[in-house]
Amino acid sequence: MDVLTVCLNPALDREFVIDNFSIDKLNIVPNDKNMMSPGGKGVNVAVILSKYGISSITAGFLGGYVGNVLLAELRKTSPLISTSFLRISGETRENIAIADTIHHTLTEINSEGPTVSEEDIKDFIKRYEVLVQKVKTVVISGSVPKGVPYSIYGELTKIAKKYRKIVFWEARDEIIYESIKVAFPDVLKYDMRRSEKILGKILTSEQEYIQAAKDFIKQGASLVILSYKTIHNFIATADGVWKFSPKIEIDHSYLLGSGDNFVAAMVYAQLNGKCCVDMARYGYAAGVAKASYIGKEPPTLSQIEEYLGNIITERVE
Amino acid sequence: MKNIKVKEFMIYDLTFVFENDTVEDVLNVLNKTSFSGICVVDSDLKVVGFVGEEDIIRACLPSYFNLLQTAAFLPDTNLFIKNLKKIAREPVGKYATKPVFTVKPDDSLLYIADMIMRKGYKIIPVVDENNALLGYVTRISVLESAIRGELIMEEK
Repeated sequence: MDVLTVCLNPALDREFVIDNFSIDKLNIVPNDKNMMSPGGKGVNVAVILSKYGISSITAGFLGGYVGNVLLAELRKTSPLISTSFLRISGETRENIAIADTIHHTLTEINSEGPTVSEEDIKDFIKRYEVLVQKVKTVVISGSVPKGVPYSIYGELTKIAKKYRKIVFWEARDEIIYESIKVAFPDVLKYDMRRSEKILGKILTSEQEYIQAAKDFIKQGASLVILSYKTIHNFIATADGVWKFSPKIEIDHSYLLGSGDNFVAAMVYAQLNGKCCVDMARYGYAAGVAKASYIGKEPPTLSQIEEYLGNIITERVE
Repeated sequence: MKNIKVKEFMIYDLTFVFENDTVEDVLNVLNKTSFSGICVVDSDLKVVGFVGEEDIIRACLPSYFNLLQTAAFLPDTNLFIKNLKKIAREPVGKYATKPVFTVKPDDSLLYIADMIMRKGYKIIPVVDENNALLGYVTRISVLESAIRGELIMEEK
């Protein structure tokens, strides 16, 4: 097995494409524009990796009827994905996304999800320590269910580091803030879809972003990715800082899932011997490629290669 | 018949318990996963035992029960419940079946079907060459694959 993707708060994704979507009105969805698929950032990464021929174990907390549907759908996806969810009493969440290709909007309705008990967390960590030894790389990505402390990414990373595994994170500021007090990942990618805060502060100037990325490197990360004004990224390694930008126009309603494609493509690149800024370039090309069309289907490897020519990577420090 | 292999119809699921998990923990996992039995593994994910509903039922019945032809002779049905409550907090390692009958991803459907018929297995662990857990095959998935295999052959 190549990768362990940790998805603490998986979700059943429902995607509706409703053109001219309007509130306070009945909106009818054509059958072919009504999709249901297993989701949650870690699960998405596992699914994308399976399309690139990479095997993974997906672990996290799962429960209830929605949880069973998610698992049944995930098992159908690919024999390259092994599931190892800890079953809990609460109900797994559902994420509803409504995309409008006429008005270029994306409306998301996410249920809050279950509450996880302390006992369940202990059981999960015990199982995680067994699974982590079976893989080369660990990806921890996405939200944390209620009851689970924000420092969990750090705790899981500390265990992975005991076995010398490469660790990727993609998470929100609150999680990163608490977790880096425990351990640093190798690759730190900020999920800034909901908030543009970095360590509790809203950054505005490019210089502030560059400084924040450099600080994370100084503290222990090998590669830091901060998204900037949605479509740009600041990338830092021990060698310097880069600003990534697309050469093409990006439709914001197509951005759904581009972060997961970014992470999965970086993992693919890492497993295939790419390092540091080249790994980030590959991930960014995948993210931009994904943002060039609607739908959850990830770009192919040849599309990613092609999109390497559609991005600008400018060294800023 | 087409030579279908385990890896084509197994469930790639790594649900397992440890030897020191309690009987109650195991019942909880079986209930939530709808598996009739699961593997007991060590810290290397190596399969060291197997525990199913039947192992737990057997553990709650008096030792002479196997000699009886029918449950009608059971002196006290409450005894079963009492015993179940008694062992609920005990480590499951005590009640697991060892050694475990396992199969490999390249084993054939015919071989598994044969073992299911002879031994009555409902769920069988699939392991790698080091005996580490890879997943499970269930009786229903064997039956389903067997039917599909037959249909494919008839079409040809």
